[in-house]
Amino acid sequence: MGIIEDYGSVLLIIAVVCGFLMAWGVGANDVANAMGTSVGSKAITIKQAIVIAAVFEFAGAYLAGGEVTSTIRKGIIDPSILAETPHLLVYGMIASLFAAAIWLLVATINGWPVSTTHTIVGAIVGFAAVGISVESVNWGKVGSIVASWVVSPVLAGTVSFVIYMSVRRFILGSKTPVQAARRGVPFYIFLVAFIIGMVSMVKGLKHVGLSLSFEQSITYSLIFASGLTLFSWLLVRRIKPSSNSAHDEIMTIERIFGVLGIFTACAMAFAHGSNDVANAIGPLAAVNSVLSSGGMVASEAMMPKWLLLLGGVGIVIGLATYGYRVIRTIGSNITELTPSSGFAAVLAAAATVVIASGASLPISTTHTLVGGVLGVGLAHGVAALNLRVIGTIFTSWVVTLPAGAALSIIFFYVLKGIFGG
Amino acid sequence: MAKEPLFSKLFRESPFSLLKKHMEVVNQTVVTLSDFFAAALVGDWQAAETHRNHIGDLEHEADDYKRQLRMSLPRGIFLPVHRTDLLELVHLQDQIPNKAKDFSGVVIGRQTQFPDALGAPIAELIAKGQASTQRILDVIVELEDLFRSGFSDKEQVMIERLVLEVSDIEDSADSDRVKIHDLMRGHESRENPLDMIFLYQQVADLAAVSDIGQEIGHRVLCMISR
Repeated sequence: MGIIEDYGSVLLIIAVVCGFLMAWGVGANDVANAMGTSVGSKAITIKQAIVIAAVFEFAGAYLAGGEVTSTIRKGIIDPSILAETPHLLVYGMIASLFAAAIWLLVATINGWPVSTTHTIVGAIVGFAAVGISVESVNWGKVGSIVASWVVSPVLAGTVSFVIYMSVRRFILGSKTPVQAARRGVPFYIFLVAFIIGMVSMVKGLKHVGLSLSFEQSITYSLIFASGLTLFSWLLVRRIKPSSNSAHDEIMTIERIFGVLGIFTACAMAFAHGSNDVANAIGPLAAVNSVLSSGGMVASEAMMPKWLLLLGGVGIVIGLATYGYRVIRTIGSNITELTPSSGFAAVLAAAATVVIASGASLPISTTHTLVGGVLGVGLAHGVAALNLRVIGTIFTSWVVTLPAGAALSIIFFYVLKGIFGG
Repeated sequence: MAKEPLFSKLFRESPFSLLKKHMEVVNQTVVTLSDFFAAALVGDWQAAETHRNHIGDLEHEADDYKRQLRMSLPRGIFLPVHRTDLLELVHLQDQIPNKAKDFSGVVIGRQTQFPDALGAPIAELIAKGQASTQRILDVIVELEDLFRSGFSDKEQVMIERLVLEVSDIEDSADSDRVKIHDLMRGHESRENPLDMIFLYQQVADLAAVSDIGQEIGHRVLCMISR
C-alpha cells in the first residue's frame, strides 16, 4: 500500500489534470454535434447556441451526470477483485484518461469520426482485461453498454420518425396548420421537459445530495413541465403570418417550430452534459475514491460534488476556447434542415440520451443524433441524406475500441514502471 | 478541425435548391430568346449577336448546375422522392436552353429574314414558351415548400393548378404552331424553298419549349403523387 501513501497527491494531480483535459475535449468537440443541428436548422443562432450549451451542458453534467459517472467509475470493472491492489486501479484509470485524450486528439486532427464514449470504455476494458485479469471486467455490464450503442441510435431514429410523422399528420397536414402548430408545439415542450425533469430528479439529484421520492419527482417534474409549457405557449401565441399565402404560412409554422427548437437545443445540451461528463469524470472519480480512502477500493462511497463541478467547468471552458468554432463549422454545413425537421431529430436524440443517462449507460450522443436525423429522413423530412455515414459509424466502432484499449494498456504499463507495483 | 466532422457529412445539399437554380437559368434563356427575336426581326444583328451569346452563356451555366445536381445524387443517397425522378427532371429542364440555342444559332447563321406576316405570330409563340417556363419555375420553387410542408394537400393542389396552366399553354402553343404553318404555306411559293425548310424547323424548335414544359409538369405530378 506504500505507493498510494507515497505518491497519492502526485497521482491525484495527474488524474485531475487528465480528467480536466478530457472534459475540455468534450466541450471543445462533442458539444458541437449536439448544438450543430439546432444551429443548422436556424432555430437558434451560434451565439445563442454557445450560451445555451454553456448553461445546460453544465446543468446536465452537474445535476444528472452522476449515474453514468458511477458506471465508468465502478460498473465496468469489478472493484472487489482489486481490493488487494488498489494502485492498479489508479494507474489504469489514469492510463485510460491519457489514452482517450491522445486518441481523440489524433482522431480530431485527422478528421476521423470517433466517439469519446467508445474510446474511454475501450480504454478501461483494455487495461483491465490485459493489465489485471480478464475476470476483473464486468462483461455483463460491458455487454449491455455495447448493446446500448446499437439500441440508442435505433431508438432515437424510431422516436424521431414517430415525432415527425405526428408533425406531418397533425400540424402540417391540418386544415389550419398555423393554429395547429401553436397548439402542438407547447405539447412537445411539455414532453421534453417532463422526461428531463423525471430523469434528473429520480436519478441525477441524489448524486448532488438531494433525495426525492418518486411521487415528489413526478409532482415537481409536472410543475416544471407545465411552467415551461405555459411559457412557450405565451411565446408562440404572438407569432402570426404576415399574409395568407401558402408560402408565408409555411414560414410562420417554421418560426413557431423555431421556438420549440430553442427548448430542444437546451434539452440536447443538458442530455449531452449528463452523459458525456462521465467520460472525463468517471475515471477521475475512481482514482479519487481510492486515494481519498487511503487505498480502499470502496465501491459504495459517495461521489464528491467537486468532481461533477470540475467536469461541468471543464466542458464550458472547452466550449468557450475552441468548441464555438466547431459549432460554427457544423452549423454552417447543415443547412438543409428546417426547424420542424430539426426539432424532431434533436428531441428524439435528447430524450434517448437523457434516458440512457438515467439508466447509467454511457452512449454516443453523436451517433444517437445521427439516428434521430435518419428517422426524420425516413419520414421524408430531410432533403438529402448521405447513408454512407452509417458505414463510417460502424467503422469507427471497430477502430476506436481496440485503439483506446491498446493505448491504455501501454500507458498502464508505463505508469506501473514509473511508480512501481 | 481540418476535416469535415462526421455529423455534417450526414447532410447533403438539397437537390431541390439545385433543381431550382437550374430552372431559374433555364427560364432566363427563354426570356433572352424573346429579346433576341425582337432584335433579329428588325435586322439589328449586332444586338441579336449579343443576345445569342448571352443565351450561350446561360446554357453553360445551366449545364454547370445540371452537373452539380447529378454529382449531388450518388447512389446511397437518401431522398424524400425517387432519385431517378430528379435526374429525369433536370434532363428535361436542360433541353429548353438547347432549343433556344438551336433557334438563335440558325437565325444568326442564316441571317433569317422573317416574312412580315410571321413576325407577330412567332413572337407570340416565344411568349407562350416563356409563360410556360415561368410556370414551371414556379412549380419547381413550390417543390421545396411542398417538401417543407410535409407534402401538404394545399401545396399539392397549388402545384397541380400550375401544371394545368402549363398544359393549357401547351395546347394554345400547339394551335399557334398550326396557324403559323398555315401562314407559311401561303408564303411558300414566293420564298426561297431552303429558307422555308429551315423556318419550319425553327418554328418546331420554338413550339417544343412548351411541349417540354408540359412534360416537366407531368413528371413533377408523378413524382409527388402518393
